[in-house]
Amino acid sequence: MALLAAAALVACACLWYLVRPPRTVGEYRQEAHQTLASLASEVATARMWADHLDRGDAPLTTTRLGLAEMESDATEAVRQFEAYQPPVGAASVRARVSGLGGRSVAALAQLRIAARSGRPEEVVRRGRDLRGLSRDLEAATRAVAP
Amino acid sequence: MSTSKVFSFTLGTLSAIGGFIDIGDLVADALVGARFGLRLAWVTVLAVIGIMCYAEMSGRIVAVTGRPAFDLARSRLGPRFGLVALVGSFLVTGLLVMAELSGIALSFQLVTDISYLFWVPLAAVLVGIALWALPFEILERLYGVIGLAMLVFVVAVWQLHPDWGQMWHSATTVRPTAGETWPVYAFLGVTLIGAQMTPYEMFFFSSGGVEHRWGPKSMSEMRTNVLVGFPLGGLLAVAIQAVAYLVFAPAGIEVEHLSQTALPVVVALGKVGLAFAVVGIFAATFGATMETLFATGYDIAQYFGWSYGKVQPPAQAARFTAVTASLLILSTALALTTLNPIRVTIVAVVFSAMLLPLGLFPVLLVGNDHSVMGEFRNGRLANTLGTATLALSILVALVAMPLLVWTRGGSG
Amino acid sequence: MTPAHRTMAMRHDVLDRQVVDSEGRPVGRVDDVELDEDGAAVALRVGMAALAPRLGGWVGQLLGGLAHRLAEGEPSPAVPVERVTKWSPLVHLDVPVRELDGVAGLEGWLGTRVVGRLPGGGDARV
Repeated sequence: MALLAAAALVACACLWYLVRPPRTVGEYRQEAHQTLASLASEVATARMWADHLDRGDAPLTTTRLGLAEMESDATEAVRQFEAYQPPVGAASVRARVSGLGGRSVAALAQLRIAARSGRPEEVVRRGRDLRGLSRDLEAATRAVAP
Repeated sequence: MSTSKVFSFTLGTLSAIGGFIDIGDLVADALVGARFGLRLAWVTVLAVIGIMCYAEMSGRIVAVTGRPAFDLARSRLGPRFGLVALVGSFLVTGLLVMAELSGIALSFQLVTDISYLFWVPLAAVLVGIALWALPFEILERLYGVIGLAMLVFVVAVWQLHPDWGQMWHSATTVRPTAGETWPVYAFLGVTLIGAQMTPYEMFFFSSGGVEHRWGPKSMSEMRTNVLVGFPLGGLLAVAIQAVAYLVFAPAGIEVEHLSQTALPVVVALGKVGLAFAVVGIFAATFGATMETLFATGYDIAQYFGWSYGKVQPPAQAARFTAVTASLLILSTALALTTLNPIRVTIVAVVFSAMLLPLGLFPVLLVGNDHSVMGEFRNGRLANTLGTATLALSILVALVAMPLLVWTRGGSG
Repeated sequence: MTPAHRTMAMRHDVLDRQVVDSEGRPVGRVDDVELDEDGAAVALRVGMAALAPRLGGWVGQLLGGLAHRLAEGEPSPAVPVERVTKWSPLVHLDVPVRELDGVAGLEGWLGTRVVGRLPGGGDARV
């Protein structure tokens, strides 16, 4: 019985560790780093879909799906990061991630809207415009690395 | 080679494609390739050797005794050990059935852009009808042959014109890439072992042998299946890692979706490539749904000594049929809860890795038993490889859970 | 097998073995062996009700209770040892499973009432 209770306690501790919010500035920066890295990944994937739609490699249906998935991932990543209470001295990190997160989500939403409305030319054009955003995301990812 | 020989081959390819390459692999390989390139390809090589060794052993046990290994395990290890192994494998394989079923639905989603949740019940009905109406041979041949479409991933590697020297360098480097940590590297290694060395492949392979009525004469056929099937599966797994490495690593892309597993093929081969990839993914997940379902049914039926399998009409294996059908319905319900199927897959393969020793140990024990196996008991090669694989699986089982928590499921 | 062999040692040996009927169809496992006062085996017990006490603990209690409910209070079915023709590696019986009263009852019930009634389900009693 004692063994069972100990096991349950360890399991609870593990679960807590898995979902615990960041408390120190270091942990917060780590979260910011991960959020920016996944945003960069999502924007890069979206650019790749748009680029291959342009070359006629990817059908519009699959591109639509790929873009929508990236948008919802980005939305989720930003939402989760913004829900963390920033520790004292980390306000600038939060502002930076929030700003880039907002830009990414908006851009990916535009791509998805264009794709779902059947405007492949617009998808391609907007996809090309994402190059700057990608560069900003990569720079920020490096900058907030703990 | 006669036609029947060619066809009997496909049991091996089905086990390879449906068992080795399943939803777990499609996700884990692409994820690993994007993050670590080919630096974990050696794990796949080990997994292929390990699963070949144990599949051969369990196939040999069937050929000699006419009974699958797990069947004999209960009288060797007693009802308690058997029950623990049974409950563990039931939970893990149950999760896997849900993941594979979602995999079929996701392959439909890839070409239609209609949510996989819409396709899940349809996929379940399709699986149910196929299992009910089609004979075992037709099923395995069909999906074995269609599954060959997965070879498009191998073609894609060439089409991407890689720098082979750099690929070789990546494959021979045993440490994490810059910016990644050792625990994450180890965790993804464990994930690969869990995705590739699944006990259900063994159960299915050997129980399938029972349905084919293997005897000592079938030994060479069984060995050919092992020698062709599993390395083919391993080749496909490394190819998925390679294309993800070539396309995603330079762009810093992390893999989170099945659509991203297919993207490198789009990049390399365009729409035709995508069509092949989708067909391959469909066949692999469909085959794996069938295998995981049956493996669980076999497991339970063998523990309690019920009649099982597809050789006789379903009414003569009523409890087996009822268990399999209930599991299919249960997994459909689970898939419809909107639990992220990719996350579920990762968790399922980690749990599968934790339970691996329980699946391997009885096979090694029976394979070595002179009173059962006679002259066909394990030779030195089978025992050396078998013991080494068992030792590795125990190590993997011990570190799997701590690594899952420490790395927060590979994200830390 | 001589009567002298039907002892406690044999009980340990045949426990958990697969039982097949005269047509080679699986019947179940030797979940328990019934012994008389001299320690000689009288009958094999097959089914969850016989297995549950051997598992012990709350798992055994749970499964035992379940089996008791399903059997509607009837005692767990037993196969007399006279029906056994071969003991190893599987336990072979000289009767088909349908003639063993109460053995594999759930199988029969599911086979005739549920699975056998579906189109293509086949006949449960062949």
